[in-house]
Amino acid sequence: MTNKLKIKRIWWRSVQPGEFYNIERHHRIEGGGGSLYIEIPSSMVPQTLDFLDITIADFNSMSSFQIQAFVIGNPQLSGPIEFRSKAGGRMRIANQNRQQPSSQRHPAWTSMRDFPRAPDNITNKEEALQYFPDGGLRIYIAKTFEGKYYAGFTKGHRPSKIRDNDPMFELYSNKVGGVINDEHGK
Amino acid sequence: MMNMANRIKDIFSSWEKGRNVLLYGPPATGKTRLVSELFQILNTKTESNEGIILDPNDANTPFSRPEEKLPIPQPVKVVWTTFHQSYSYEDFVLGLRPEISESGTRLKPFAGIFLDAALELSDASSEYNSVVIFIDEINRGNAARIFGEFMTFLDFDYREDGRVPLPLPLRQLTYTDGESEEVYRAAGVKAKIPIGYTFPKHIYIVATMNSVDRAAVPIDSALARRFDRIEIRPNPSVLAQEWGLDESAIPAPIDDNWQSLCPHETAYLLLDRLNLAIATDLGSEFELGHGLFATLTTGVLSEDIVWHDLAKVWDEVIYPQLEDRYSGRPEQLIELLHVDNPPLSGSYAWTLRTTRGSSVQSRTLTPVRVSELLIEEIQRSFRWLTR
Repeated sequence: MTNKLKIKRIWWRSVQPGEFYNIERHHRIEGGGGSLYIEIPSSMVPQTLDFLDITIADFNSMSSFQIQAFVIGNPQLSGPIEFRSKAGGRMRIANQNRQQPSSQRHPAWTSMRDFPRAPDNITNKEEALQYFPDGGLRIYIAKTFEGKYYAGFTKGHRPSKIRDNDPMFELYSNKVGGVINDEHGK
Repeated sequence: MMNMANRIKDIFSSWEKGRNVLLYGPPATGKTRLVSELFQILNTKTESNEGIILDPNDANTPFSRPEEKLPIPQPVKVVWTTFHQSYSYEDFVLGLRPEISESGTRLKPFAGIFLDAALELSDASSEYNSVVIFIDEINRGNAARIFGEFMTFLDFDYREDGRVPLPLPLRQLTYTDGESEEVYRAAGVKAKIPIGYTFPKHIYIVATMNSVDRAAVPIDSALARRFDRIEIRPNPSVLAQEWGLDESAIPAPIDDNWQSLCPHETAYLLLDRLNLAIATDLGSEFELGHGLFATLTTGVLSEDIVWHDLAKVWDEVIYPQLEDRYSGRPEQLIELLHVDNPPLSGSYAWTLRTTRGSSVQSRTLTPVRVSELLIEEIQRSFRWLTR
């Protein structure tokens, strides 16, 4: 009980199969590069910046905005998560391809933590799909009232015993992503 | 679902102010579900709807809600009853039953639910600190007869710790040495009531009432003013959530798109349209509850199954309710069903009746079981009805 923390908000994003392929494959593949990050669509940008407590003007004035997030399941570990802007009003979580030399894949989102893993040599999205969990994959970052961040993920279908007022309920949603507030339904 | 959490908050807020609660609304709006949710909260340690707790060492279920704080002292004893025409003062307050012994027959007093709740809290050996009484269909009993002089004690002002605590006026009992004869309680327990006994504070009532009944079975006004009334309205969002529909993406049915509505979108829009018409024609208390559509199948590959479900629900639940509500208003029902304004092409479920061999139409509907029609006609008819 002493270790339990009060969370203000949880930011989450559904990882699409194509993105899963891009963050698992070899970073240099024949026929071109492609993205090595997890995208944040423009519809989620305002709530993402709000979650990070940064204004759009401040965010645009810096090359990236980095937070340090602890690993849920092993909170002695932590790692950086770097948010960058992207064309078309979008954002990205940079350097999430696990094979790239500058990889910053967060330690909460690795196979060490049971995050799904595709073989190093996969060559297309269809191949990656067989390693992608049935029911979906979502990454999340929780923020405490003190401003500390904790990262984790969910995979698969929503367990039937989860009630709709449980904060875990939405973390098994099939939506694009969102922010869960400390009060249910707000 | 959000709605449910808010309503429970409303109930708690009334209790905090020392008020009982009347849940009021059309059938199938979730009143009983709300009561059973509340029942569960009172009987078990339940998670709150506010606050998120993180256990950073638990990777599988790291988040949870803190425990719900109840506005009434725990543990809570929960009692459930339903009023009906034969329900009486003897059931709710105090009854006399014959006891046959060697010396003859005597009438012994038995505590009804309300008095038993009071005696429970006054019993030093009781494990409970408050009692909640759920009364289903409160308007179906004769309130003045059931509550008798105990109507006064619905008001928290006249109870222990209230503004003007009053002594319990039980003149049916005989008193000796400052206390009553033994009153029999549930489970064979007996109690004596001291003269000047005041009704305990922590007894709360949650009652439900069907608003469609209002005209036929109005609630006693003396009873009604002793309750905070919480209206439970039909809420199509509950269906959207259950069916996995994005409400903002459900189109308004217009010429260009009505023929492509999926069965769940159709049912959602149908409820919305029927309720607007009913509210306009008859009053909002006559609207259809969203629960009437809750049996529609979800997650099936074939939409035809859902269309058939919708047709069956229409035939067996929705249409009979419309007939009841529009009894004596056939023209309004004909208009509601767009009988004079069917789709431009293709057959339509609802038509005016003609006699055999004649094309002269009467202003009455042809009886139809929509679920026995061809799938195309079912689809066309319900989609058209959303408009």
